[in-house]
Amino acid sequence: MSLLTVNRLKKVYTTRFSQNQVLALSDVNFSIEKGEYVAIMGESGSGKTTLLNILAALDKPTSGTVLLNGKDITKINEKEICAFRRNHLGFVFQDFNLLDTFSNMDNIFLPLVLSKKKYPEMKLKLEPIARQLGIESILKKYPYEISGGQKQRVAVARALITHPDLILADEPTGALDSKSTEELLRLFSKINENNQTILMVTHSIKAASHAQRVLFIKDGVVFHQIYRGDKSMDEMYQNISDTLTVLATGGARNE
Amino acid sequence: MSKAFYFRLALDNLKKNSKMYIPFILSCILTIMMYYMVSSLSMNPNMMEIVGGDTMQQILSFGLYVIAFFAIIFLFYTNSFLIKRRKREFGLFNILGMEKKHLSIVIALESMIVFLVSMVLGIGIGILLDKAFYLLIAKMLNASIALGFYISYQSIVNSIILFFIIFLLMYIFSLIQINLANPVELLHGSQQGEKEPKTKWLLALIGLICLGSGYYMSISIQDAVTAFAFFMIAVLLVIIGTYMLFTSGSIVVLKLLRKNKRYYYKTNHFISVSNMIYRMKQNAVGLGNICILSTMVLVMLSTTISLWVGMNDIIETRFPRDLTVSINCVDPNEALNTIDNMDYAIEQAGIQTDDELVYRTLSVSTINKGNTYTFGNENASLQDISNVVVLYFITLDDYNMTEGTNVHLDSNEVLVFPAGKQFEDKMIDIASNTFKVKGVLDSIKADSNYSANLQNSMFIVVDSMDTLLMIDNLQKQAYGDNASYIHTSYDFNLNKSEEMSIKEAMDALIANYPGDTTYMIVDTKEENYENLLSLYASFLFIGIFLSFLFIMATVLIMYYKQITEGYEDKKRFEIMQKVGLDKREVKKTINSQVLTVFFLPLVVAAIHIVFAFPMIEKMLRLLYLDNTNLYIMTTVICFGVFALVYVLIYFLTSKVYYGIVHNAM
Ligand SMILES: Nc1ncnc2c1ncn2[C@@H]1O[C@H](COP(=O)(O)OP(=O)(O)OP(=O)(O)O)[C@@H](O)[C@H]1O
Ligand SMILES: [Mg+2]
Repeated sequence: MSLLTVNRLKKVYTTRFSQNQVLALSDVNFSIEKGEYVAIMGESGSGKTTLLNILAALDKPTSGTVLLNGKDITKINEKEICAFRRNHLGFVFQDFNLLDTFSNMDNIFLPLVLSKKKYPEMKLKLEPIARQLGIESILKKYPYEISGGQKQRVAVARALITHPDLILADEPTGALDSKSTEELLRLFSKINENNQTILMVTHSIKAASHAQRVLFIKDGVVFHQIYRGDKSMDEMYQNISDTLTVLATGGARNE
Repeated sequence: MSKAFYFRLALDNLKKNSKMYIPFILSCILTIMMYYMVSSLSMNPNMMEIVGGDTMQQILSFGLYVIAFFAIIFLFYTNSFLIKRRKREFGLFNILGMEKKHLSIVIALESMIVFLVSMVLGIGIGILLDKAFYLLIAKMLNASIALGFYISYQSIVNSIILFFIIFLLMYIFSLIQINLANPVELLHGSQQGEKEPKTKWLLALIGLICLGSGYYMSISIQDAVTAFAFFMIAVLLVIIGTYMLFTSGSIVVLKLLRKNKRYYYKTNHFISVSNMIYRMKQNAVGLGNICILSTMVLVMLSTTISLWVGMNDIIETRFPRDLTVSINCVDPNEALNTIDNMDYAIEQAGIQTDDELVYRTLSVSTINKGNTYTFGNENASLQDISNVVVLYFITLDDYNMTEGTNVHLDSNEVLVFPAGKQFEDKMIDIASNTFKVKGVLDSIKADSNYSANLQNSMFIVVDSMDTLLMIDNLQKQAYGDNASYIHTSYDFNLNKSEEMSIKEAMDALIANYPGDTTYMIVDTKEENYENLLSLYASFLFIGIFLSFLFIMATVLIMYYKQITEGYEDKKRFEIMQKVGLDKREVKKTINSQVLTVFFLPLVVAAIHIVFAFPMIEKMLRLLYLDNTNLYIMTTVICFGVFALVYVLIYFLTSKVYYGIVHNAM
């Protein structure tokens, strides 16, 4: 069974002050296996963030189902949703979303503290992750005292520390320079090798070419997908960029 | 760019920031209004015609300085807050190509608009309300009311000058703020202060010591005169202590809590402690202000109201009789005749008297060690000064006469009235004369001066006039020019059937007195009543006025605090929800933090009041109010009403806060 199955997902935004309705997602279907590393691409406004928010249970779909480990997260009631999010999902955001009121270490601990874990246990969990991400020396510092790349690594550590089933990342490299981007992507690949499932929204072809599979969203549906298979990174890069060109020129659905 | 353009831009800016500027303009209007009214009342010629109006005017013109001083600090504080919040906007203008020169024109226009609006409305409303307050004062002073409408041009000019200078200074301050910063700094201006505050152990400790010694002064000082002398120092210490504890002490405590891993890493502690550290950093000064202002309001209101309400009591205790004659005898031998002289004068003037209280006392300052009382000299050390006890000597005859008793004393025996202190000595030694204490008295009537309340004092009944004169002689040797005189007190009521008015009786008495009238003072209850009335009415009036001003300041500070926090908390709580904190928990933590921060100043103010109580009670004694229960009652009621107002302010201003944070919930 797949780890995540998205079935006939539809999302219509209705604005409070106008009758305007925006069809952000019309019929999205796909599934992700455990241990997969999937990238989602698409033009601005194509509904990527909307999709991710629904997967994260931050938003409700208009219709359709999202099964995570066989459980429909769109049906979970309000009360359990936070606990569910904490225990099963990890987030990495474009703008890091670290709290300046906490030291980096406390930022990473935040989901654990919310799950009422004890300090010694938290510390035990942190050590291997901090080592792997190379952030041991900045744990005591505060988010405003470190660079963007470091902030993103702290945010990744916060996502990983609960050992989530699925990591959701919305343009995690968006605010990073090319060197930090490179580091983060290598990190994602490494985490993925440890059998961590990752779903990443990105505009960067380079970032997407690290993934095992790339989904393209257009007009509210999954328009196309590319499997990495045995392709090299460069071949994958070429493949993605060709697809994007076709998409941009409004090519009909093919392949 | 044309002038009209700048003007439009300035207006637009004010509109855009109306959430911050409307409260600011409102408080400018109120401050100007109050300044104008107090100034106009203190100059209103009609006031001179009211009995006690001159006292009122003197106190009002003093109050004017307080208002002016307060207006400067308060308006400056709010302005700097506004500028800080708007730095980002200015930075944007700057980056989009507006030179700082042009920026300063826009800000000047904004200030002008605010100034003109506040000035016109402030003085306008001031003129309208002026009459109402004049009527109120007239009523308080039991005066008939003069008709007509009074506008003080002098006050208008004064108000314009004062507030123009304040606005000018605020403008210059804003320009300095903006010119010092480069555009990038300006852009981040309102995000500054995100850095974690430093732990300042030393300041926290100093704060604790200041507060502690202020409190200690209040509870340890025994007599009213010392209390009066040290009151300002104690107030200053408590103010310094309050600010330091709010700013540094709170951070120290919170950081200690954070160090305690087992306490800190609990869901609700984790979030509230870390957030509180930041809240305290940004709000500590504001909270300190609120706390001090609240304390001042409470002290002012409760004392002035107590005095006002207790005034009749005060008159009755202080002047139980219609006329109070007091004669100081430079020549001690004259003291032997003062009573006869008075009797003669009363008879000659044809006054019918009732309920006389007649006695002579000699008061001497002594230095007390154990049971010895020595007459001091210039060599008295500082330590001795704190042991000063004023002894009031009275002869047995006078004592028996005033009390209607028939006690007997031998020549080396005395009776002692220790005025509320513990007294167990069997013998006392006064200037090397040993006396046997024959008895300790519970009360004494011969204290119409009410002296026992004010100083560390003690009454000694000696056997005869000879002993009294002997002591007089000794104190004259010891003190020389500073020696005191034997004092005759002759108090009486006019008989009900007496036709003469008190004033006539007083004049007739002085005219018919056969002795030396140089050191004779005649006080009437009537006159004193009028004096007290005007004094306490002025206190009450100014008290209410300043309280109003302070409460307004409190509201404004709270309001701005809520806005600032709202915007910052909004971001924070959004993130927390993304990480998996559920809405209910978010709401709970928000509530508890907002409540803590909000009510901390009130709680601290309550503690201040409790500790100030002993000192203020003694000072009120100096103003002859010894009705402690009345003072407690008034304080409790004032606190209750104030707390209610405070809660109301909380509900009003927290609406703003929740409105801002709401989207995140
Ligand atoms: N809260 C909302 N209310 C109404 N419409 C919304 C809302 N959020 C998004 N939309 C609309 O839904 C569509 C999809 O938005 P979404 O944010 O998912 O795009 P995206 O693919 O993430 O774009 P980008 O690459 O720019 O981040 C857009 O047309 C957007 O205007
Ligand atoms: Mg997006």
